[in-house]
Amino acid sequence: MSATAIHFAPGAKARALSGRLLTEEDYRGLMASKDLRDFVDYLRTHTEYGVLFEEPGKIIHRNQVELTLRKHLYDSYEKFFHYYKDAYRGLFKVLFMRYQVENIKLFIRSILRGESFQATEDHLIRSRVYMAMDYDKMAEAVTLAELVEALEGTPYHDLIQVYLEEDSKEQLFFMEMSLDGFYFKHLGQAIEKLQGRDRRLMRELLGKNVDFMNLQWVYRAKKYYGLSPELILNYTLKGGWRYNYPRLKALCYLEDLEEVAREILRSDYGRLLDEGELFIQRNLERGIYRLMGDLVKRGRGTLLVPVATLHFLEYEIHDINSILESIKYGITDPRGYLTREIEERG
Amino acid sequence: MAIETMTLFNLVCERSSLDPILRDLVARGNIALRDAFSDIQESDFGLSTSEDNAAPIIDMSQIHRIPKNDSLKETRGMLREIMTAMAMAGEIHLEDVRGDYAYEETRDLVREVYAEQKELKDRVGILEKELKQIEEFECEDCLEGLSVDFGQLMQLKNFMVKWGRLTSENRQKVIKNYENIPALFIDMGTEAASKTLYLVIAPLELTGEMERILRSLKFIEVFPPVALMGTPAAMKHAFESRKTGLREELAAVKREIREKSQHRLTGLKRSFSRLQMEESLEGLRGKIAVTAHFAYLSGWVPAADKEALEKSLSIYEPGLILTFRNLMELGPKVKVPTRMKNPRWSAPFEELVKMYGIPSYREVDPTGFFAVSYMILFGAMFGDLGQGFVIFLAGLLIRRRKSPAYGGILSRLGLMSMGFGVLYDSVFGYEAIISGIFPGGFYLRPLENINTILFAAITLGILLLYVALGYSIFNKLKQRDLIGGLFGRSGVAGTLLFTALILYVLGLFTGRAWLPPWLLTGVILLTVALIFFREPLGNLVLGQRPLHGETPGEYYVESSFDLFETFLSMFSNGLSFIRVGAFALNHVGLFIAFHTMARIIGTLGGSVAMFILGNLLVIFLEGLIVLIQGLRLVYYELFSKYYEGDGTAFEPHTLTSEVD
Repeated sequence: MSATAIHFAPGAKARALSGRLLTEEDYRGLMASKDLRDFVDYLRTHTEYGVLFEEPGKIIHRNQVELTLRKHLYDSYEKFFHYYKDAYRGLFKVLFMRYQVENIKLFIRSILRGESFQATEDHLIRSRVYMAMDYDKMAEAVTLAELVEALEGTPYHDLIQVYLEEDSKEQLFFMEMSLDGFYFKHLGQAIEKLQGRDRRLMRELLGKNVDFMNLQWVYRAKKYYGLSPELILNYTLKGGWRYNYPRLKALCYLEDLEEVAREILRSDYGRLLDEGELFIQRNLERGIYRLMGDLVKRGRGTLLVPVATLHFLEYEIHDINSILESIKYGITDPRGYLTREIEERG
Repeated sequence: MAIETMTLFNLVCERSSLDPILRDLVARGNIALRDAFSDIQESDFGLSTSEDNAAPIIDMSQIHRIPKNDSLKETRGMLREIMTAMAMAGEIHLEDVRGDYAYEETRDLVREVYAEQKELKDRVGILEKELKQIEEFECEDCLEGLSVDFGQLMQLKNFMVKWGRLTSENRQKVIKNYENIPALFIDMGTEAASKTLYLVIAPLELTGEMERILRSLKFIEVFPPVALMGTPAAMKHAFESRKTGLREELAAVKREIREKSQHRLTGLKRSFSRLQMEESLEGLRGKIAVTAHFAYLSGWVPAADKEALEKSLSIYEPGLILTFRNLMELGPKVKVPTRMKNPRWSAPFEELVKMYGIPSYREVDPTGFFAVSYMILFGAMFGDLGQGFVIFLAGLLIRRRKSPAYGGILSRLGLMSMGFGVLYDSVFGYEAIISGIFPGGFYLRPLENINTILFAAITLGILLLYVALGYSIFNKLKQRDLIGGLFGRSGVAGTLLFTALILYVLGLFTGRAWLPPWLLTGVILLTVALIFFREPLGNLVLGQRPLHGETPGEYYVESSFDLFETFLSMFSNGLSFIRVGAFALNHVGLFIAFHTMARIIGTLGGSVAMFILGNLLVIFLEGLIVLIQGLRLVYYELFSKYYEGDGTAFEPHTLTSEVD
């Protein structure tokens, strides 16, 4: 098949999907909801998510809403997966891998917090597309060592086993970085198997994404964890777009945090520190959201369209959950917590 | 070409004789059990109410399922280990599983042998671990030429000393940031980069920091055999002699294990068969209902084996009640499994029939007709004596090496191709060779008789369609589907309509009226009306109410579309077979192209090359296309007329031979 023909069907599918995304009006409508029921009613009557909540008054728990939406996202991924083959399918497989990585992180966090497993269970998306995992056995784990044992036979086992002895507040952080690094490494490898514009654009997307993550990591590691530069540097992800190893190294060995901030503000990724570092995670997501928007405009008829559309969907679902949470905690204006930027009206 | 008749049996036996009976059933290999538990609950279990049967009938109210055998998996695992240690092959001997014995004996024997070998096996584990440690640490001429005593190095008091490996990515990280890392990284190797050993030395007070850095580098620590460390030369020697010692000891311990349990060999061999049997029985037990005293079984057996079964079970009498059930009294809700039974010439084609669906017990096995039609269609499309022979040979080869069924199909198709090749006067694409040897006027060379070929193709198609319609009528009447059989479009009415339409078209072409026009029009109108009103009409005749299964409006809208589709499909089904002729022509056409190319090249070598290339292309590409087209014709044009294929296969329980 020719390069463009590969994306005909999934491209059309992506356009249909992006046509179903929420409008700004919908965001406002959801933010104006008084309570959970109101919120679900709005989803049901005004948005394309309505089909997921068909029975009025049925959904009663916030977690259920979240899980339903996440399953929906996952189904959307799976639909695209079936349109592709060879290298493209390989790439989508790796995209599925992220769900496993995220699941493992959920398990680690819930163990470290000593939480009951049920809370985790509600968030799990069980996919077998990338690799089968024994979630039931993982669910039985009470300690990290047991969790590691449950992961025996998967590539994740070695990634977190080494940190079992790490008894510091950064333990979770290291495990997460290690898992992320693994995921990004595979993503990079999958992208190298693509060709032409698809590869060029995906490389750029991944590279800039990695830059964002690295800068965020360096800043936070310095500010909150006071880690040694060697450690910070070793945990950075490979394959940045503007920040290669020497530039990252220079950044890591800057003595003063102010200097690091200045360097970040000077770069293409200055947005990271908008409104102060409290919003760094949100800014990271907004940055990637914008990046996707830019790349989609340049990448019509390429793999970028489905990939970005799926990410838009993912951010949207993330936002919906944030709005839900803000309703729970009585925050009237949650716009600052959303990835999507909603202008003040008037 | 038939479907084997099946009989349903219900069996009640004493609980104590259940295991021997089950073993017999599995060893017979022609019994498929049904879920007796649900049969009893749905009152489908045949046990006549008589004085003799009183006890089992009363007990029926307390049936439960047999609990799972929890120790089986463990026992099999133990036996597997024992077998590996004793280099035993897993062979099943039927005589070992006959007769009366208890599973517990086998389990206890296996446990006993396992326990008796345990200590020695642990010793093997320890020795192997040490051997592995040395082998992992060793690297060819790594340390050679160094005058360092590594034994002393390992005992440094104020330094952390670690050995290990790095991935190439992380090695780069170390190299690029070496000036900042508070440790010595000494590359020990000349070996393949990923296997290179690193020696890491850092001041003791930096151990915590260094360990974190090593983790961030995914440093894979290797633990050296400290006791054997010294100068490189001394180490080399120490490693070698220790390895030799270890290997000798390992061999000795392994031999000891074998010898220790040698006297149990017969028992262990028997245990293997028995545990395999037990594994098979586990699958069966889920389908059996039991009480404290009785076991209830329900299952299928081919009718031909009925008496043999009765006879073999008679040894368990008294205390055994075996009833055979009449299929008629069971009604349509009981799904009878099917086993196809076909003569040798058509049996391989069962595989292709199964690909579409397994015939249900209440329809005719289509394999025979399938075989005939597929062979003829293939032969007609791909008629060549030489290439047919190649396909025939390929079929024989595949039959022996890979798959008997597919090989069998291919060789039969090849034979048919050869037959048509003679008719078409074609050997490897050369016409006139056969007719040169055996002159005569009966050859039908496709390109010289284009119209005949195409016309014959359609005629063949129509004939096949008639057979399919015949099957359809027979099946429907057999299943008591009178409406479909008589008034349906693949029933009698449809067949009449098809005939009338053929005669009408024939009349148009030949200009001759084959039937009086009024009769023809009459038949067409009548059959169309029958098909259109088939449901209400049929229900009226049968005296069933309501007349329409759905609302009349819906029915007639649906029925008119159905009618439209009937016409369309009769037209297209018939014409579809034109491809048979087209492929026969195409086959010759391709060769003309290759002959022309050979002539253009003009040399002997060129001709030979073209001959080989042409034949290869035709056999592989066209052969494949024709295989598929033939299958498509049979599946789509013929099967869709009469074959449902929604049966379930008869899968008798047999002894598992897989070890796990």
